[in-house]
Amino acid sequence: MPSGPLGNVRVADFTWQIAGPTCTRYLGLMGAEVLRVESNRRPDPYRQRTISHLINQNKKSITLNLSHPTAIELARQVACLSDVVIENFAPGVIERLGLGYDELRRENPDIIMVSSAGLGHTGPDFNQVAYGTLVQCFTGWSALQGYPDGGPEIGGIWTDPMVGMLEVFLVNAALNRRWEHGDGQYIDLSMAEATTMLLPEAVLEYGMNGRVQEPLGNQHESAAPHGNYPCLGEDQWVGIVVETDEQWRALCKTLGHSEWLTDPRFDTGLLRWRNREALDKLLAEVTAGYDAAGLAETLQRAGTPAAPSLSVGQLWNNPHLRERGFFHSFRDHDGTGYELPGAPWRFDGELEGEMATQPLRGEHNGYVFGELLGLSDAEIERLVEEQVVY
Amino acid sequence: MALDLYQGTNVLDLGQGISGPFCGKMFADLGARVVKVEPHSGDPARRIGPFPGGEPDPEASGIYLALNANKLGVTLDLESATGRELLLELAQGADLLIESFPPSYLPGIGLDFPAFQARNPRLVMTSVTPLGQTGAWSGFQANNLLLSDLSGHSREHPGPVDEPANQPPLQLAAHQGEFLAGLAAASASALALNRRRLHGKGCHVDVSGMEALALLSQTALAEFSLGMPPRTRQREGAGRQALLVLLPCRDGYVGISPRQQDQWERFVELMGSPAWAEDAKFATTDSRLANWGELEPLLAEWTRERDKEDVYRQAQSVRIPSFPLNTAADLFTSAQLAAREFFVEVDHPKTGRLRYPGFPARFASGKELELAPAPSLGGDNATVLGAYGPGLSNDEVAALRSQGVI
Repeated sequence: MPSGPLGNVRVADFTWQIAGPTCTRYLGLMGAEVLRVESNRRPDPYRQRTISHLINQNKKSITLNLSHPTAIELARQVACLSDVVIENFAPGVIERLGLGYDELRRENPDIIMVSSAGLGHTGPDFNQVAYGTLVQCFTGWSALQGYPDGGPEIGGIWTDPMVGMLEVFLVNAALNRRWEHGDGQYIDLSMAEATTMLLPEAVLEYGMNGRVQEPLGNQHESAAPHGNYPCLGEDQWVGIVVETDEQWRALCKTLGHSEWLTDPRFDTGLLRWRNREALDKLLAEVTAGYDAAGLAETLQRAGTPAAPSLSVGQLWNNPHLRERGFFHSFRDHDGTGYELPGAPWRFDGELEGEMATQPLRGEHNGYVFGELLGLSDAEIERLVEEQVVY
Repeated sequence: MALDLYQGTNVLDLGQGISGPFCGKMFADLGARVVKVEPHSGDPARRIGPFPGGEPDPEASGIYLALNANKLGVTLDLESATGRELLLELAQGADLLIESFPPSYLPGIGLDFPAFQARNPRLVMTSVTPLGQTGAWSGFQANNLLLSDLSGHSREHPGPVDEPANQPPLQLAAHQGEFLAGLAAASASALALNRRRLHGKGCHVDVSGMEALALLSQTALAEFSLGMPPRTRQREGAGRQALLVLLPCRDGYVGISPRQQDQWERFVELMGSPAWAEDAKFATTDSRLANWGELEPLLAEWTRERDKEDVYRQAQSVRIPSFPLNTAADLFTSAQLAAREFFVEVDHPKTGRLRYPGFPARFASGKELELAPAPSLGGDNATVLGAYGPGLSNDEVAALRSQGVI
């Protein structure tokens, strides 16, 4: 039996940068054979960066110089041997190369193709230059992100890896459809629309009430306390959330401040929310004497939702994640040992995936052009010399 | 025609709040028949809002309506033996069951995965919780703020700030953390349904919101793993990686990134080649980043006189990456979203016609998202418990209602 849920699936991966490679990393991890088509003529800038160790793992790599007609023919053959083609070139490029959906499905009628672009592949503005973080401005997301009264923030990169996860869903949905009904699929994905899809509150609020939502910072729409409070140590914080009277009672008792329970300013949920500034100030004075993780655990056990605000290092060493086996160890081609996170799911308690190191560029040229496409070693060598395989 | 990738798939959605219901929504939008199961008190999302006129109404919560469109709604009292038996009978005909209770809840009332599996070995059961089914913290509660904290996003996402002591780590806005957990649950469920094809039977899928979000900090995690020093929250001295900024305009902000030398030169030309741009301080990509404190006000001087849409259009016309900082109001007038018919209008008895965010993809098949309004509390009890599931008669449904089971 093939290993992993996608053990019988082959993916031709024409993606680069972040979103597409994030998707194909998961597909590879789940057992699909991912054939990443790269080019030394037009290298992926993210291949040089540290993140490549993660987003390009679990794949095979071939190199093709797509400015050469023979390379395009080889790429077409790889695509037609595949169940799924994924690409995120600028809109129109894949069609100009002769590798568009209409071209591929002539030979492979049930092929599944997912094309993602900043604003999608149709509409008056499809051709705008779109970087992931800037796309976040277009979507309505950046206008909501920030401290109250502090102005909006573009925020870190969110749309790209999120879209990678969405593509995992779409590819599996299309495979399900094909296995049930036999039909292929072309999916034109807009990264901007994917981000706006996750903001229904803001969209419906404007439709209902004509009101444009503003950044709330750490506040909740209707509950308090709700925020991050300072703790012992430099730049250490604990998040505390109270949405019910039970949680409030547990918080006051755990912190040894039962007198807050009889303070008329905090008597009901609504009063706590109205007087949240005073409440935040009182709470911050008390939390400052505690260790963030320790306090969060004590509060959770007492029934009040709380969590330490983890730094990346603390996340890395988090005992809960370690106990769940979230991180996996590897050795790279040069012998360096390191660990990377797996996936956010388990099937009956198991990841069921094989975590592999990222391939060297062109590492699988022999396998793909020789074994899969049937070229002889001499032919492959000639293609390398002619910089077709390059 | 409606989207049909999951036509013929039956989903039982016990999810409450945001993550579970969003997972169910992804299947509902693609044509699955999704039955949403609520307690008598209703899904807590019915209390989140936004509400028309700001007046709380469990049948008119915007986030509830968006997350549960295209679903059928039943109420079941899982604390009663009859309610549990009805759920097991519904699960007999389901491909996927989604739930988001604390990990000990369902096993505590005799509804663990083996109980469902005994009735339906092909069932996939997806549990999406903040911290997963196992591990020391698995029983902990976490909403959007705490998920942002647990995954490192509260620190990583906003980037460096001027005064870390007065600017606490910041949650992901607008419930994004919970939505992302739901998206990971949808992907995991879709994988598990395909996995069923190989194994012949379903499985229990454990999805952790903390892990889903931690993976969105993949750059920071990979860099930390490979020994790069973590970034500080203090802006001063943190340095900038590329010229990517929000600049104030007459009517809001515009995001712009003239990061490459040629883009910068075209931007200077766009601004009418001001004298200050000749200064050696701003001559190279590196020097512009090094002197950012001086440069920003000069750029803002130019953008402040203009509308965000105009700056964006002018910049894009010379291939400089730029987008206006859109609000929901701007999205409703976006020609791009209108041409792609992104928003879908839904007529709901309590709210009238409203535009909802649609599906973010177009299909060569020409099939499009169709949205039916979200169910009222228990609105489909008779249909679902009758024809669809256990085959109860109208009288039997009425009897269950009077017993308080539904």
